[in-house]
Amino acid sequence: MRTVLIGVAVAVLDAAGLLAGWWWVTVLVAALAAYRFAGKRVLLAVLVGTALAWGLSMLVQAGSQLGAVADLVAAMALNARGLGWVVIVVSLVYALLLALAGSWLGGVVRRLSAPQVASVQEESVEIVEAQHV
Amino acid sequence: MKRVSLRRLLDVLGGLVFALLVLVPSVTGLGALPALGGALNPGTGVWRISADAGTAQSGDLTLPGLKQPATVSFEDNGIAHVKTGDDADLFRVVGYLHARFRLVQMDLTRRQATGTLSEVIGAATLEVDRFERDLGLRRAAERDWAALKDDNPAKTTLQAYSDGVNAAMRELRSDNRMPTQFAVLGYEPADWSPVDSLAVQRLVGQKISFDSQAPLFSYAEKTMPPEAFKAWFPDVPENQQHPYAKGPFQKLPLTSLPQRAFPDPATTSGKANAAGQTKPGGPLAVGAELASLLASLGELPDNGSGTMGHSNSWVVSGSRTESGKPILSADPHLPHSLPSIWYQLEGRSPGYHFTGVTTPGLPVPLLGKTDDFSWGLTASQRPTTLYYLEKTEEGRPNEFYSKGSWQPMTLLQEKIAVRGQSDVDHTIRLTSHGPLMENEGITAAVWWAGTLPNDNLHSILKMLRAKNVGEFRDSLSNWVTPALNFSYADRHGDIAMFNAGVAPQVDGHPPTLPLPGDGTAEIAGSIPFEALPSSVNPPEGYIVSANQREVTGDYPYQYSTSYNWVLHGWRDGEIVDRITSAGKLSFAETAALQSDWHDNNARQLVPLLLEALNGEKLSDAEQKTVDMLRAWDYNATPESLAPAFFDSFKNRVSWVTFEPWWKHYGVKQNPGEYLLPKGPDAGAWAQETLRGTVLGWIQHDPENKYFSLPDGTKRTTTQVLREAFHQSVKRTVDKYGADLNGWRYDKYQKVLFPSLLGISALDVGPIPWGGNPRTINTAVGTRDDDNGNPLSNLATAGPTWRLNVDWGTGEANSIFPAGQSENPMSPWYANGVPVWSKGQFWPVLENDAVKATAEWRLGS
Repeated sequence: MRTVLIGVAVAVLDAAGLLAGWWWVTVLVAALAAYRFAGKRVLLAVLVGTALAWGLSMLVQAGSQLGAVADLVAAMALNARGLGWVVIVVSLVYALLLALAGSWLGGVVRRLSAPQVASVQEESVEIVEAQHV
Repeated sequence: MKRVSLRRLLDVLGGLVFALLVLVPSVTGLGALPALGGALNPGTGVWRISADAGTAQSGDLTLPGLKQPATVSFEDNGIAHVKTGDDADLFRVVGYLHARFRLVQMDLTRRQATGTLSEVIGAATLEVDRFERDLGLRRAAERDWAALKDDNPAKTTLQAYSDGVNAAMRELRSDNRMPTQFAVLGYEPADWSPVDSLAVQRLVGQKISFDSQAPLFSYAEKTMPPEAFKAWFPDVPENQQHPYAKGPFQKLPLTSLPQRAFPDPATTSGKANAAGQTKPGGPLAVGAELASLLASLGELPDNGSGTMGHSNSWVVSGSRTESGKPILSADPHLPHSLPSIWYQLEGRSPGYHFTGVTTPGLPVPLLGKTDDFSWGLTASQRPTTLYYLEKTEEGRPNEFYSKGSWQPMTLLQEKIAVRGQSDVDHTIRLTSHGPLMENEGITAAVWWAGTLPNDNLHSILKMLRAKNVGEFRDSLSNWVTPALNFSYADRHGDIAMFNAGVAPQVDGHPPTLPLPGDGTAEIAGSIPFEALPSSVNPPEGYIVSANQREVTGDYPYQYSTSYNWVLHGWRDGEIVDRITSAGKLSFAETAALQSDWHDNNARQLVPLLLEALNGEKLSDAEQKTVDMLRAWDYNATPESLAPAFFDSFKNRVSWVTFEPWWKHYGVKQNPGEYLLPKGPDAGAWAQETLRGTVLGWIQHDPENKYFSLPDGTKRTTTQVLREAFHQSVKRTVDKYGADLNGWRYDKYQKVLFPSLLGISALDVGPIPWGGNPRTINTAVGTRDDDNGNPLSNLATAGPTWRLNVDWGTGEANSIFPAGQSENPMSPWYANGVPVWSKGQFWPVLENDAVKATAEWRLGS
């Protein structure tokens, strides 16, 4: 339930920022989520929330013309018609990269500010987590 | 512990590096990519639907500054009808409309005119920017704006237009609906100013009238005996001409030209203020996905904004029409582009009522009709670009020798902003004749009429209010540039044609060749307006202008020659033939004539060939070709077969005649190697003139010495025609096969409507096509292949708008091969292309006849 709530919160905050023209909100929200909450599920929630926020915002802006807009951008950027899906995929991948970068930085700050634990087992868990966030 | 710390360190470093890798391109862009954050952001990036992406929707809109409420009605094809209660409001709304549907085009056009393309495109357009800054369109625009008096209606009009453009831009920005192209390119346009409009006006003039024929043909003139040059390239072309001004002529004293000082008063600081108009999103450098887009934008002047200005216009008096009143037809020939150079609208205010085509960036129509008359334009071929060979010395880099002493050049230092790299310093060097520029490998000071002080906008505003032919003529008396023929037909029954614009006269030297800059070839003045070619209600009942020489050989002033403009006599010959051979001309017939593909050169040359082949032994393929030619009506339709042969034959006749001689004379090519044909089937500038020369000689001077060979071997015209025929049949069979069905013209003749941005994915076409540069429905290839050879069978220029007005029936129609919107997503992007290519039209609707599908109600 917690991860679902995190995902929804990320999506709402991201979407609000994006529609205001603040793309960097994606990084900030992911960083805050990863700073406040640890775990792979949280990372997954952040990524899903981000993808939803970007996808829905794109739909809100372009509506039924989403494919046509993507096609126009593809024509301009790639000089090819019919590759609008590439532009959509690139946009979503880019959004996920932003969220990953924010999550990683948020996780680093959390780990740096947390007390060191001696247990190798805990260490290992933390390292695995670091590799995921 | 140590192992854990290292992992922590790697964790931190990894996070930082990854974040940098993602965030840096997000903020600054990478290579040719714009800043990704802003570009891909759904809120403000490419995912917005720009305002011009669809058809107009009815609604109430705010346009600050409107004195009275206004409306804009849209037909389902996108044609706009503006109605205002105030004259300035009319042009304010026109500016608003242009910006709503053509903002990208307007900004790129303004940037080309002001030499600031590189600021948003990069180094690819640096040479274009240098050229335009040297030429000085912006310097001239700033000077002329400063000179406009407050009571000049042109000033009010330009200001209102700019206000309308800027209001639209503010609205688009605040609604987040700027054109997608700006998001992809990563910048937004700056505010529009009246100076921008005046610079665009000069750019339109440049497309029509700037030429480099003088340095180009100087390569032939310098290496040929004078009598040979004069014979090959005479003042009056050798083939049949159709001047509309036939004399008798009166030699009136020359008038003085508008005074132009270097540097111009507006730029006494010596620094152009052209750059810094925009807000580039970040540094771009060629190297990533957008590189191809930027590269194509770098070629902008070669396509959508390039040069190539032919045109047809004819007016027929009521004595020759079915309706008993005059008919006007006009079709300006320019490079095709999507969007088009034209935006069509009807404008109505208390002082004006017109329907016509405007150019985005300019507030007034350039061709069209009012309630009282209709008018068209064709480019006049007389020289208005003069080249002065300045005498300089190595030790005096900034001086030129004139009138017995060394004079200092005026130097203007400018900085050109270039996207993705630091600013580039550029020095403009001006002599008393103009900027020093290199054209065709020759450095010369360029005197171009296009930068003379002018008040042409005022002339057009006066013209739009004219009520009769006298007022129309008077409105043109101060027209400066470009040199144009204005065709005219009115409701009263009058037809006319007036040539307007300055016509520089040079004592003792032909202005069509480079001139000495030492002071011995100064401009003495201009042909007075009263003595320029004109015709009003001629007894023959028609007037035709298709860029032919407007006057007969006894015109008492320096005028055009056969080489400072090419393509003489073909289109006008065909038009005159049709008008005079018809009974009473109907509206439908004149409209259909604009789509005519009869080749006048073939009409004259093929019968001479067939006669020359009498008694000649022919192969099977040659006999089939002769049979085909006998059945040919000279119509170069897409399904016709003969053009495949004639395309080669027309070139080979002059190749067989002249090639031995230019080899004998050692005529030099220009650096671009398009003065002389590179091979027997290649086109070339000289070839276009020689085509007329050789035809005239065959018809009237068959004993001309140039039919024989330089070594004295005697040849007759019959031998020349036979030789060209044998060669051409062999070449055509080699290229298209022995089966004549493989010679269908549309298998290789196409027309293409390129996107203004040079993006082939946004082009329309190529479409199978007919015609050639000599047909009324002209088809001109302006592109080269990768090896620099002209793609003459890929037409990228031709009739960009067609207009027909019958003052008897009240019918009028028009069409252009594009659409009203520049957005490829819009149904109005290219909806005119299929109509145009079928030879069909949209009716010109006015007033209550307009069937509007949407209406904007504008208030302040």
